[in-house]
Amino acid sequence: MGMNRREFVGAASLAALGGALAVGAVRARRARAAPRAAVGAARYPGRVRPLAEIRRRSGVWAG
Amino acid sequence: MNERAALARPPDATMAATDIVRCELCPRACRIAPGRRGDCRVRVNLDGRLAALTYGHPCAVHVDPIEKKPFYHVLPGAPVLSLATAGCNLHCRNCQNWEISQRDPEEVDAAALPPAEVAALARRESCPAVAYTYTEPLVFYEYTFDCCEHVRAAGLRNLAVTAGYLNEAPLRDLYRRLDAVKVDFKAMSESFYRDVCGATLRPVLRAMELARELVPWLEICHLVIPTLNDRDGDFAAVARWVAAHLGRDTPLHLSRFFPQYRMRHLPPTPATTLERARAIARAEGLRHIYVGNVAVEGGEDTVCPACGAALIRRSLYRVAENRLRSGACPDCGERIPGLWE
Repeated sequence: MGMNRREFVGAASLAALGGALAVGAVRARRARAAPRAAVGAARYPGRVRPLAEIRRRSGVWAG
Repeated sequence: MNERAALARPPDATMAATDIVRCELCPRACRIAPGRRGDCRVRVNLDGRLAALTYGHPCAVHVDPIEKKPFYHVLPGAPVLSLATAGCNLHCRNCQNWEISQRDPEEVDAAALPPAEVAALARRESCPAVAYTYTEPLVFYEYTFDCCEHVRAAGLRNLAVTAGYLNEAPLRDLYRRLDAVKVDFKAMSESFYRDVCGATLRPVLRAMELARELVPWLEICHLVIPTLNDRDGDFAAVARWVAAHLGRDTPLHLSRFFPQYRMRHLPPTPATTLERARAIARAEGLRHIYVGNVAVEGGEDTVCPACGAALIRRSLYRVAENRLRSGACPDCGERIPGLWE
């Protein structure tokens, strides 16, 4: 059974969207992986904040 | 390089050529490709070398009462500098601190705090001890290890709060630098560790036995979760194992569960369940049993097992009264084991 034009365009758009999402996912993984490869043992990959700020927010943790 | 370097080595001849590293820190034995991380989110393969991303960067730093860890037989009432980094090698569905334990280092804020400054900060805050706690200190092993060296050199004590899921060799090295350990003993059940924590029971039992052998003081905490580990037989199995393998004087903390993280469908533990657990543990021969996270009359008090006198009265992690004299009952002279001074 053939598709009419609207169905074909819709299917193609979905395929393109799926492809874009897949490419995005790959890029996201690579982007997340890049700092891991770049980081050295002495370089923290996350957000560094003043000690006073971390201390102020740490009273909530159990244990 | 010291023994810590030996934690990472090529797992076998075929992998040596590909720079894949097997982390030998915990029983998971993660095989980590270059640029990738282990299951704990913290340990990374950097060009064939294993590194801990969170070294020197705690995401939690706070001065807590020692009773909050909980340690009830160590320096009663003392303030303790407590710290943690992101990550954990267990994935307990009930984790209270999942917002830091189940996150990548990038996802949480952290401070720069080298080991030498940890000891200095503890001194400035008049803390006689530093506790590695909140998440899993064995995952940020190198940081814990180096902090221990500085803290001990400064004349302070090292305390660790852990799930005990570590391989024996690194555990032995670290235990020799600790003054007290509190192990979270989740259940005397392989299926509980597998289904709730994503881990295995046997290494935890070994970690507790090693702590008894190598660390001056050990306390056990057991979180009671409705429907999962709250049958009489469950309590008896935990208490019997503790009494037989760690000794009857090992304090056992029975802790109340609150719905958290991925276990919000279960109710908080009824106080009556904890009282029943305490009676069973006592019948199994344990001499120091505490009930925590709930208001139960006398649940936090240290009582002389010989004469029944209340020795240390506590309320909400605070010491209301301490009658101990040089680690002994003032009424009958019974020695109460612990690190009291």
